Amino acid sequence: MVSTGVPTLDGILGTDGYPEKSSILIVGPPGIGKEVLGYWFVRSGLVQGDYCLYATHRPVSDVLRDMKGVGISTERVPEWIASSGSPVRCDLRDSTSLSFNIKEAVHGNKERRVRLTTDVLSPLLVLNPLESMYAFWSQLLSDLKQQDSVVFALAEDGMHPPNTLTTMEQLFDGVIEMKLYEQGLAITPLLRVKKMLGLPPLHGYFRFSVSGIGMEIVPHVV
Amino acid sequence: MSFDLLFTLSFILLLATAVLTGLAFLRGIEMGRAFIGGVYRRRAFWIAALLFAIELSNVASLVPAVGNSVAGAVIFFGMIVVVLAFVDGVILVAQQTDFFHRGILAWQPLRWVLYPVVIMSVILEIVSFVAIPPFASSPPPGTSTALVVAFYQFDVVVPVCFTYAAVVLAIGARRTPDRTLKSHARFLGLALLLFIATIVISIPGTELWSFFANVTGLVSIYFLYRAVMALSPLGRVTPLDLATLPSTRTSLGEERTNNQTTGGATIGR
Repeated sequence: MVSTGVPTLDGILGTDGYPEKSSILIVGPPGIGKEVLGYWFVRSGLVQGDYCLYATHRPVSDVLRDMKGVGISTERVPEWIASSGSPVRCDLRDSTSLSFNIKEAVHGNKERRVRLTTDVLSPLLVLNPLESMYAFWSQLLSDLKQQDSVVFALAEDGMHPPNTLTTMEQLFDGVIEMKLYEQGLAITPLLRVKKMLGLPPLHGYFRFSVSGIGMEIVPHVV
Repeated sequence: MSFDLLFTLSFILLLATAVLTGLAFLRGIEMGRAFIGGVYRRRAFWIAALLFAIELSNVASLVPAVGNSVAGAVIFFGMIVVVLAFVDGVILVAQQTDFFHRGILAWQPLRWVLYPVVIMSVILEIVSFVAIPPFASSPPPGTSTALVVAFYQFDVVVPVCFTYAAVVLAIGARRTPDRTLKSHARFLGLALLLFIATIVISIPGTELWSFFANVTGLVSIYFLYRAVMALSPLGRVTPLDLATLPSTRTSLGEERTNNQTTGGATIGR
């Protein structure tokens, strides 16, 4: 199993992490903290000596600042494909070269386990037709699965028509949803595992909070 | 409609507006606390600050001793500047989230003109309010031309500036690919247009027109409330039938169902 980087989430999954050679999709509205799960996933990989690649539509400096903000040390950093500040540039208008760059970086590290974290799914879905993006991700994920790799992708809820995300969820082995829930006057951020390869459907919601010292996830009793 | 009935209805509308503003303020704070960070957290706290300013103005208008004082005028007209700053913030965010970062109707350079114009207009209005005793709804005969101009300029300057801002907001909402921000900006644009309508309708200063202004004011706050709620798609926790839940084994070696707690932990650096 591949540790999520958050021990409580490993516990929730009941398998000590995400399945080997899997693709995980984190769905949530902007600002809810999806990236934080990605940062801990990367951090865990760097500690374990995995090859970590971060493909982002943001500048490297922004991501590093965010990481520090949530209490993650940036002494060790992943390889980058970013909009700026990285040797390989992430150009959202050229999905072919983006796919090529990702595959090249991953195939160049065959001897190690690979952790790919990316936030380009939503921008690509906005800029391209759903059909072509379905083909793009389907091909990229199946290619990466040939190797010992775990793909961790973030998708923005509320940015796409509902059927778009449902379609994309079919491609991934695991889907974790982070969302704001309304209970009376209170608004609570909750997390739930919608599906996970090799696991029966997991019911229940989990409250999570992010601070400068880490991420806390506790069961939310309905 | 009799004067008393109109007065009572206006008071009820003002009260309803104050309650709805308070509710929207609480929602804004809750939203801001729920977001981890970034643009949306700032948007939520900003809108809460705006609603707080509006609530202050509402409460001031419900209390005649405050509403008809310099403090009341400062609170109301100060709110105008807060509204402009808030709308400016949303327009800039909409521009940022546009993949091509296109300028909208020269907003970037013109906003630096808009701020001093609106602030000056607000200051002149407050000065004219203080100079024309006792807070008359129109300048009495014999008032100097400069004071009359200072009194009426606000009714032209602010609606014109805010209509421009509302149009820019509408274009920004159209261009942003983010559906959440799109709907937030749309509701905000509607609230702004109704706010302008409220200012214009209240110009005659009669009881009947004030009543209509209170109606548009309430609808404006309703759209502001919708703008707060549009900051994020919201779900509702469904109470599951616990008897049908499968149990899963956690790494802690415990049987877990929906109603059992597995305990939380905080991970550090």
